[in-house]
Amino acid sequence: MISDRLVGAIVLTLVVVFVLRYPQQIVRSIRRWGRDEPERVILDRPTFDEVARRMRGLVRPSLLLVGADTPVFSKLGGDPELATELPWPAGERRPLSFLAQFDLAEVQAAAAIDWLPKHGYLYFFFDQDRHVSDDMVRVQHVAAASTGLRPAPKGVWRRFRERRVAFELRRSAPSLDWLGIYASELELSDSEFASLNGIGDTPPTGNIQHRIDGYPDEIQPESMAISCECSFRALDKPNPGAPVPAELEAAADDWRLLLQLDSDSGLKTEWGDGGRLYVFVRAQDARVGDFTRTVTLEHCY
Amino acid sequence: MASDSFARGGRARSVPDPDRKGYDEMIRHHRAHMAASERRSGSPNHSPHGAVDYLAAGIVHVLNGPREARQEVERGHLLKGIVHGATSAADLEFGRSVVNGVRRGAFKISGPHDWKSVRKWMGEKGLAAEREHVHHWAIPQNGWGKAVPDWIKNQPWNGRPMETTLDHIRTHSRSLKFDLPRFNALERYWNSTPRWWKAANASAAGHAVELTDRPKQGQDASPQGSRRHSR
Repeated sequence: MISDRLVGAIVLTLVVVFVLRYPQQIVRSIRRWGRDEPERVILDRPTFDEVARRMRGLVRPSLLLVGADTPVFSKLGGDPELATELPWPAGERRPLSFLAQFDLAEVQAAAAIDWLPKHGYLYFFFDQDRHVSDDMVRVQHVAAASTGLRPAPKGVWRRFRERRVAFELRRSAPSLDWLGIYASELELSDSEFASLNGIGDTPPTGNIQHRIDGYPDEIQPESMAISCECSFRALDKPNPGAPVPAELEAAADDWRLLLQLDSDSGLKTEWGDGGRLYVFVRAQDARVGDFTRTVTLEHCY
Repeated sequence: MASDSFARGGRARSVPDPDRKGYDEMIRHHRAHMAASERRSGSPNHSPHGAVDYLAAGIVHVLNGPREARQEVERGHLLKGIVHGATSAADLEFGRSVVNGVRRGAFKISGPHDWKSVRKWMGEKGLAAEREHVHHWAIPQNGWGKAVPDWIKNQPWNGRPMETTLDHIRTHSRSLKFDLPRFNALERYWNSTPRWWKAANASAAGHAVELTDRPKQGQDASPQGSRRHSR
């Protein structure tokens, strides 16, 4: 039989540890105790037809990255074909991990993307020490590439497996999240919701999707363009349901999906639990070859 | 008002008790009846038999918890009372969450079970608020969860709405923006698992303590044991 004193000591110790260690969480938990039903006043709810029409009008090309059958420059993972005179990008503590490289001529041959330069090479590097900050991916745009592989310097966080990629042209429609519409408030039937998701022909959310251009396939509800603009201006994101300033919304239209990189066991990439990296750039910056001001977001399950 | 020795704390009556003989006779008769009944059925007749009996006994036990806790405190067993009380609270919270969850759609029976449809369903049923990140707390989407079909893992019961995006970030990694580390195991348990799961855990732990504290079968015949079960 367990004595009262022992039980008491265990209970009291747990209570004391919890209160001292997690005071904020306890206060927050008490506050949310009675909160079950999220309340929201819905004004001007758009109809299914209006939303579908808007989505169709915004369809953009998107390039799905698939395994290449022929020798190409563009690839995910491995070692970069980076000119030796260029310094390997370094973070605060160590050299960055190489993510991907693309020949813009190969990209433009697959689909004419008006906001990307016609020539040059893009290199993507990942900074593990800045993981889940908007500059965790660094992009370099260079005029000339190297034909030889440049092995990663010592101390990089990870070397991903290599996959040469070709581009498959798809049509991408914005999600309800991108449009700033909360899916649940539309009261759509499952078939209506599926038909909205089927306006483009990008693979379903559950599939691996590495993509360039088009719209992001979000895992969590977030207006990514607004998030990018807020991040760019060092502003806090607007609260859910709060009106977004018109000027901010207009500026958010400039953001383009430069790269969506999925968790992929073939490449040994894993972003959170089955998550994705979304690298965005402003169209006007990309046009002039300025990829220094990208914003990267991450979603996972 | 009771007048037996229990009500007097085991002390002898100061005046003659005219009902004592009849009362003792009644108790003897009752015990003989119970023993005969147990011999006939081969098991103690106070045990529930069918599923409905078990359910009813469980509900009665849960509802009786606060009373039992109060009685423990009245007997001077403060800590037992606390354990009983906490267990009862956990039982009631767990029951409330399960009933509420089932009523509101914690199980999405019919498809589709892709994540976006399930997330939309959670919003419609009031299980997650707008823009709230929902975390797969029990069965992950990737890793070993890859082998689990969507209709099992993409269910509202497996989705833990995260109060802030920061909490979701810190469940998986540190937050550089706020210079906060990744949640440790205890913090993940507290912040990233649903309330009903914590209530179920607390309830299970409380009942385990109660079980270890329960007198062995041979002790049940004693007046202490009889009192425990006669309430």
